[in-house]
Amino acid sequence: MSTQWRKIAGDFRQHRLQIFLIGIILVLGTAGVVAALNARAILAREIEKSYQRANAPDLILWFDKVDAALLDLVRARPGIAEVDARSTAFLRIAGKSGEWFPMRLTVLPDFANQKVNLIHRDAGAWPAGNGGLLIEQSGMPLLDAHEGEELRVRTPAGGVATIPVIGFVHDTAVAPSTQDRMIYGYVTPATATSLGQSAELDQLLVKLKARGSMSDVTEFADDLSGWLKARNRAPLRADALSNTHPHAALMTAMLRVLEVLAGIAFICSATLAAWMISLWMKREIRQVGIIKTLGARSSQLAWQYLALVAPLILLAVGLAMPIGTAVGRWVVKYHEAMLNIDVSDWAVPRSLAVEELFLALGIPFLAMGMPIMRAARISVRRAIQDPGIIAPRGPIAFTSRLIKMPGNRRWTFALRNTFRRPWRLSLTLLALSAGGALLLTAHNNYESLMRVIDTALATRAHDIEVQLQRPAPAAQLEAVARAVPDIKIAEAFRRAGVNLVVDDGGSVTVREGRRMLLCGYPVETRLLKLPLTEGRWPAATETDAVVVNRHVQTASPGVKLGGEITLRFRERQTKVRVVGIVEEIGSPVIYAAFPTFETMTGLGDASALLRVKTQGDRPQLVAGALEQALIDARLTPSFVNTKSEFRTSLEEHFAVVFGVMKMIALASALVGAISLIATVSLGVLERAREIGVIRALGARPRSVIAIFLVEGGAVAFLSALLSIGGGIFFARLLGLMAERQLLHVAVPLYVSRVGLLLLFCGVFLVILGVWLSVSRILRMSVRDALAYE
Amino acid sequence: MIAPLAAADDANIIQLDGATKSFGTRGTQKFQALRGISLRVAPGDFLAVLGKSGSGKSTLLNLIAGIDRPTSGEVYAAGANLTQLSENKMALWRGRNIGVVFQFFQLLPTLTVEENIMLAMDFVGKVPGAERRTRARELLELVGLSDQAAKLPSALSGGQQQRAAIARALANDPPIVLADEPTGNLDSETSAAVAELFHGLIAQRKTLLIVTHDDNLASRAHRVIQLKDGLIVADKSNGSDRG
Repeated sequence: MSTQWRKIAGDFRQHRLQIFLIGIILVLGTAGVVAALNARAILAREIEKSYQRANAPDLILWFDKVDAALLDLVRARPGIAEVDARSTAFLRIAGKSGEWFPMRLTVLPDFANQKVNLIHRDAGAWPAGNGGLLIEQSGMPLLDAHEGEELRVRTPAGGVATIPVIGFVHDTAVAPSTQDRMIYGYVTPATATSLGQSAELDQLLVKLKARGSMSDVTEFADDLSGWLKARNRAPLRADALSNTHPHAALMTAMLRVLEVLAGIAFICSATLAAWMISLWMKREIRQVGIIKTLGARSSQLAWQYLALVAPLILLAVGLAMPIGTAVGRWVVKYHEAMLNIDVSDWAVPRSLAVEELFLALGIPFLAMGMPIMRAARISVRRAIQDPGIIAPRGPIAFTSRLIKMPGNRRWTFALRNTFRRPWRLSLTLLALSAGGALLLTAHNNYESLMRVIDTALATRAHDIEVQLQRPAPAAQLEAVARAVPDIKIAEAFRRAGVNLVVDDGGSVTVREGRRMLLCGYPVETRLLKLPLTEGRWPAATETDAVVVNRHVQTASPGVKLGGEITLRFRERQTKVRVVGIVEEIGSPVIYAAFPTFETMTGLGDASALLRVKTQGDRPQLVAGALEQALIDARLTPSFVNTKSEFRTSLEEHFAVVFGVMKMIALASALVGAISLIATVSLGVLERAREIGVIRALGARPRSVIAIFLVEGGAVAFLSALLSIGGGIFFARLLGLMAERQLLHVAVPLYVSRVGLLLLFCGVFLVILGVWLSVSRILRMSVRDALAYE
Repeated sequence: MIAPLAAADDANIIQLDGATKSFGTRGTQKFQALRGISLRVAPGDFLAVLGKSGSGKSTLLNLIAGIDRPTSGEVYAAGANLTQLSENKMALWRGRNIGVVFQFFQLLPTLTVEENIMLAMDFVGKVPGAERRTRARELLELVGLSDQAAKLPSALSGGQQQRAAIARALANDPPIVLADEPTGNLDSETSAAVAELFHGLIAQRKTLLIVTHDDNLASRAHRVIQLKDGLIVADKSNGSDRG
């Protein structure tokens, strides 16, 4: 072994703790970057592929009955790629625990030959035979059911049928059951009849050959409806679909979060690596002088130190790449379940792998190479005479004098020391505050959104909402409900799906393919108290006034306060005025008092929605009793939802994004803690000689500790301030995204106490690290401290 | 002129009895830097310590300053038995009784020259807070740096920095001033000026103990001791042998 390599090996042995810490930070930082980039790349590709594989329909046509002739007729229409028939019904199904869940039951005529909205086998029987139920696999944890077990289902007649679970399927076009608290079941027409459902199919799912914009699809739906009408096969309605996953907004938010996290992890690891090497090289300065005196050139020295860090970087990258890949796969796996997608290809694009390798090797080499080159180029005189105490240079020398604590030089000294190395201070602040900001963002955002939900729920005057399988007279519904103990108020509401109609250059056309819910409410309602953001509620005498929620405006920006809109229900078109805008979490809803609702729909006294307010604090029990009372009265519910269930469902939705954020926040806390210990201990070691001088001047150990605690405290305090600023900024940004894309209600910022507490713990950790490191140095004699290199 | 804050009029302000100091850890051969040295220094004395590298000069200085502790033997200075002081008490004792001047000045770079001197007073608390600035300015005037008070050490020349370091060593008016090769990093002209400054301290009844290779500085001493391999091999006063 050459002398140079022996020196490198010796340096490795002597500084093994510092090298180990630098290595750990490199591994964690690089693994974080690789994990985030890989997860982002795989998810972005697989979310899209998974949804495309499902061959989701572009439009749905609704009929009284679909037969083979109608199917062939539509299939032959130019521009249509595939058509499939089916029907859906909303029932209730009981899990093994006895809890009842709403179930959307899809009746498929032929599981083996699906064309549109494809589902595929996950486990058990395939294709489905008669006499059994297939369940979307994400519903398994809710029902706690396994293949072969029998479950109870409410029939429309109010009875309970028992049906075996014959298998599980994967339907990638629906949100996971755990988030929507909705079970998705699939049966053959014959099985449907055993559950009291009609065996008739009533929907045609249409896939277009070339899908254009949303308005193109709407136009196609209009043309197709007109064409079918001309052939005496007019649909009841035609819905153009957006062809996006129900959780597309959540997925986009989650991918953005991953992008930001990859960036933060990248910045943190690179800056920490640079800082630690810079600290280390500072300690090597005198050796550099000695070696240069012996005749070494700057380039030889630079190579010598680069050769010392090169194996470290290679080893770190060698470890970090597989760790990062494994963590990235775990993140993808987590989201595969959370988003209910199929991941068929786990490979990372080769170009990304090359980029990651380039970043993982290049950035640490660059970050560590700069302080090495700087140290190697130092003059022999400066290196040999290095007093061990670094003087501030340039403008810092001037500005450092501006920091002055009245009456106490110790604090002035400590604070000036904090700012003595501005570049290094910036790196520390950047690394610490990025981790802190991330932690706080996750907590701020989560708590802000949950508060919005709680506020929204508080404005809902009802505790329980019931949807019925078939409409019933309002008086009958309300009477049944009022007879249930602990129900204070019961009101029947009416519902209908409507389309917005736009006058298109003289010919009236149904546009804005998305259907909206028209909700009819009793004129004297006590259970509809949504907060108005603009306008007013219609007066009792007005029969042409409606109120819309902000979702309607988002879906159709043309809808404005004071404006007129035309709504179409089946063949009936009605012009109404928008007199108020309300805020609520949910879907687009237009609210009309019963007289207005009747004018628009002509449905008469047929209510399929019941809202009740309970007294006492056990609405869950009341909901059970109400459900039983309705069943006894042959008014079978398809959906019973309490406030707390609604809250849980929303919380599950947010978990998609916050799961990642919390994971990364935890990882950043871990990296932060290791970095802190490493940087603080190296920083204090670097200043051992300075500590010796102070002690030689008569400073007692507690004075030295106090000086360093003020320094560490100042860094920690500044980092905390930056973290709070960053946490507020990013939480606001994410809040606005959620406000515009997800919730459609104002999301005020809330600063999380838990987040602040965790940040405070971080500050405490910094101070503890400083205290431990200085205490270690103080165990050295003053002589050793003065001689420390 | 700086008014003395405390009188040091014991017969011997520094006394070493059989002081030894060994270095080395378990498993390695121990190196004896000092081998049972006994030394007595009267108040107001000016001692120059000479010797080759490794002879034990700096170790002797470190023991007297309480910067290091003897392996065996006793060290008394300014009325205290240093082997019996705790780290806390030692620090306070050192601040009050010893002024240390380093070869590489070791001024704290983020503090101005004046603040460097005042910080030493802050640590010890001997000089009342209200008088510290006035005292710092008087000391800077003494070393001829009153016009440099507000500058950072990096803005000063080597000689100026060493004079500032001497002023800092005098901050708490210690009876003993110890200097480890104070002119070792200075040119001959500046060295002469610094030597003159040290000589001026004799008039203030300071006891000076200086490790040096500088003949000019050594020639001004009342007494010169020569160390070799951890032993005092010569102890001369005003040109005549003492021991």
